[in-house]
Amino acid sequence: MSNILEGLMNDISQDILEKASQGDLEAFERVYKSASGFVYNVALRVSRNSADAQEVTQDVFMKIYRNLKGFQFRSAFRTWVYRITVNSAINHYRKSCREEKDKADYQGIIETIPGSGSAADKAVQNDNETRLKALLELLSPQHRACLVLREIEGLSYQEIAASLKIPVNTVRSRLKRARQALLEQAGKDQVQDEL
Amino acid sequence: MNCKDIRELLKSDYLDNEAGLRQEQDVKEHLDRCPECRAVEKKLRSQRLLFENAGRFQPPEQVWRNIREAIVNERMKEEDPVRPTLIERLRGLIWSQRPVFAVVRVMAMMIFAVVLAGGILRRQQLINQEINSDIISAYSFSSDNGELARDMGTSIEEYFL
Repeated sequence: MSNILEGLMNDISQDILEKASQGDLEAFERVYKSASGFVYNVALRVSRNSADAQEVTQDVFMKIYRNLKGFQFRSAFRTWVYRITVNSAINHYRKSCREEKDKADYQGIIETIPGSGSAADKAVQNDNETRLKALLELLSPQHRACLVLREIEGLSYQEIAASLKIPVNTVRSRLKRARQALLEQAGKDQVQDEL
Repeated sequence: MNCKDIRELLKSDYLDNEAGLRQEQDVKEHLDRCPECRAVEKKLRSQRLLFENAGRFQPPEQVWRNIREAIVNERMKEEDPVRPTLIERLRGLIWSQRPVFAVVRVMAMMIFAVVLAGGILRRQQLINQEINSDIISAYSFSSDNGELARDMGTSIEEYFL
C-alpha cells in the first residue's frame, strides 16, 4: 500500500516545486498530476460525494498554488498536502452536513470506476465500494480520515500524526475506535443475516 | 497480557505492523492458544480486504481545467488590479453582507427615521402654535394698551361695540 504513496508525490522534484512556486503553470500541472490522485481519493472517502470531492480537490490545489512559495522541502510538502486535503475534506463534509446535502453519491462513484475488467469484476468492485462506503459512513469525519489515511493511502502512524497535527497516541486510539465500530457493525449485520 | 490487551493491539499496532518485536511475539503466542481472539483477528483482516480492494479514482479532467482557469484569472487580477474608488469602497461597506454592517445599517435607518419623525412633529407643533396664537389674538378683546381690538369684525359691529 505504501507503494501508492511512494509513487505519489515522490516524482515531484525540488526543481519542479521551485518552478511551480515561481508561477510556472506547466510545473504546477506536473505537481497536480502527481498529487491529484491522493487528494481526490481522500476527499472522496471523507466527503463521500464525488461532486464534493471535486470541489475539495480544486480548493486544495488553489491553496497549494497560493502558498507554494513557503515550502522548500519535499517531505514538508507531502505532509502539508496531506494536511490541507484532510482539513478541506472534513470542512467540506461539515458544511455539506449543515446544508443537508450529504447524501451518499454512490452512483457518482460507480460511474468513475475505471473501465478495465469484465462485467463480473466490475460488479464485485461496485459491491466492495458500496460496502466500504456504508462502513465509512458509520464513523465521524476524524475517525474516517485516520482510517482512510492508514488503510487506503498506507500512511504510517507518524505520518498521520504529522499530517493531522495530533499525537501518535491519538492516531492509535482513533484507529482502535474506528475498527471497533466497524467490528460492531459487522456483528450486527451477521446477526441480521442469521435471522 | 489478557484478551482485552491483545484485542487492543490487534485493532492498532499489530494489524498495522507498528508493534515492536516483543509485542508481536506476545500477540502471536496468545493467538495460538485463544480461539476468541483469533476470531477477532480474522474479522479485522477480512474488513481490511475491503480497504485493500478499494478502487483508486482519478479526478475528472474538468477539475484541472477549472483550477487552471482560476489561476489564470487570479494572475490577470494581480497584473491589472482594478482599484476600487472611494465611492465603490463605501458602497461595498454599506451593502456588505457581514452581520455587523447589517446591524449598523438597521441602526442608521432607525436613527434616520427617528430624526425625520422628530422634525415632522416639531414642524407640526410650530404650525399648531402659530394657528393657536392667531386664533387667540383674533378673538381677544384686549390689546396691549387695554383698548378693544380693532379687527373684531365688520364696521357695523364695531360701531355698536
